[in-house]
Amino acid sequence: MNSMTFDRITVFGAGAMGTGIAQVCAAAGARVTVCDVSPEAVKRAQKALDAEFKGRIEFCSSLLETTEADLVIEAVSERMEIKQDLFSRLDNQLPPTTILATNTSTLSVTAIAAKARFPERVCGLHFFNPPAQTRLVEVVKAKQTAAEVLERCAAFVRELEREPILVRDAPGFVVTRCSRPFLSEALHCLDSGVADLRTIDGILRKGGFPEGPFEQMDRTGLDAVYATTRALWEGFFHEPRFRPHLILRKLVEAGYLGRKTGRGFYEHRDVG
Amino acid sequence: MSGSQIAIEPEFYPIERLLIVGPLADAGPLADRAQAAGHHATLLVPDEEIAAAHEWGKGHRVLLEGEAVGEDDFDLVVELHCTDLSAKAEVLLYLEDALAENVPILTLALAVSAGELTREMLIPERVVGFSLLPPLTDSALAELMATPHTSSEAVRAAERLFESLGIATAQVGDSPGGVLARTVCCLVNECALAVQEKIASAEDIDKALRLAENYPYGPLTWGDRIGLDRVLAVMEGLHAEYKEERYRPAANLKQLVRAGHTGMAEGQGFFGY
Repeated sequence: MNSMTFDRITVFGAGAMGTGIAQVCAAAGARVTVCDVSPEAVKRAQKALDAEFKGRIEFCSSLLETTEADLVIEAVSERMEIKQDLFSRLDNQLPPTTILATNTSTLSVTAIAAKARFPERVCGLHFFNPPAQTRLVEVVKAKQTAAEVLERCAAFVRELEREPILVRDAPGFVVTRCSRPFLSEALHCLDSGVADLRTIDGILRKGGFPEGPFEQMDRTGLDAVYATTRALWEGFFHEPRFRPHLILRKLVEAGYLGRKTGRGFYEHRDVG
Repeated sequence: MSGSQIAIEPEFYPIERLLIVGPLADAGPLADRAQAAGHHATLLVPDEEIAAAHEWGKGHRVLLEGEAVGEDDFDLVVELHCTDLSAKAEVLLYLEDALAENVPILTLALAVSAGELTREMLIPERVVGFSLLPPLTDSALAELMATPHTSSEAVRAAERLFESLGIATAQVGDSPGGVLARTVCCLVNECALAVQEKIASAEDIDKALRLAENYPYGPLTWGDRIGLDRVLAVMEGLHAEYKEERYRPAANLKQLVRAGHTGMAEGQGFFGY
């Protein structure tokens, strides 16, 4: 395949999301480079990707090596200064036609773009975890994003055999924000004594949901759920609908983070 | 069954003759399902003309409102009013008056709690709230809500009825919409707010939640299936019960309902059909 919208793609951040995004892009036939300032992270990503894509994905651990790319997707840590700094530096060493996309799930794409020299080429490309198994990608329009950038990104997402949806830049975009009541109402039902954990999960599964909200939170990790909820709440100026729940905070404080620690809402004897 | 000399376990009380009360579009399909399960269903209707004019009113025994009811004519009543709370209150008082004291009354507690509904009633012991997510006959599970007054016999009768209809039951605390209807209606409301704020198109919002969260329906389509008037009623019920800002209904949801665009049944809701 050599007729892709973007031929050369650089993914910044070799964590789980970056590695997954690189995998999806490489599987569609794009030339992919994975870059991370941590050589250990690069090594881990290489180990994970080599089985399927040996020799087809390049790796680097210096920002300076990225001088040619049609699309950059950043999946570095979820902190505004880091993302702004990355894009403003890349801006100076990449041709002005390169599109800069952020995989942020909770930060303002508009604020990230604001520090770039050519903010109109910045947009959001929000992949979901795990990228290889999720068919949806949110294409996020920041205040500054050019229409043509969004069209090309949407076309690219289709080439990845994923479904793009066009989203305006607002906290939590569509999925993170609109799915919130599934988790928060469960916490409120628990808190106000409507039902216990197992009953709530059982009722919602019976109602057609693929898993119960407490099962989902335990799988995702309560620290991640809590961080996302907080970011959403703060992003909407403390809108009461998005207020994090004390039950969740106490579990996070106790280090009961879900499956990965062997205990969250439930005890997971099989793990940890 | 009366006149027996020995004490009869409530388990052996028959639940055969059902009186089904409420909008015919809901009462009709439930009566069909009850008939199919071997019950004798009777629909309570305002007058013969309405019953005859409505597709669901045909083919069922009907009882006209205001008509005299024999104390021993029915084993159990299912009351299904959802959006019209004054009709609900009125018919519950009528039923209380017309039926023998021991006939259990199951009342749909989607938009109001069972406790609130029975406040004015003389025999609240026999009343059990329940929540089924509309369309009612699609539901696999009924949530049962006992008030502090509700007798265990009444709860047992409710369990037996749903069991006989092939609908599982779970007991939950008394609250408008229980767990499932509350969750789904809050999802619909959040998506309605996102549409209103032009975060994405209605089609894309539904697509996103189906693909990323694997929901069985996109929430806006789900709302259209449930009926937006009911979604609004559940939100207003939660808002009234908890007085929390989080349950404030979206303005576009209210506007659609006022315009009569209540979803699939009417041919127009968030989407056209």
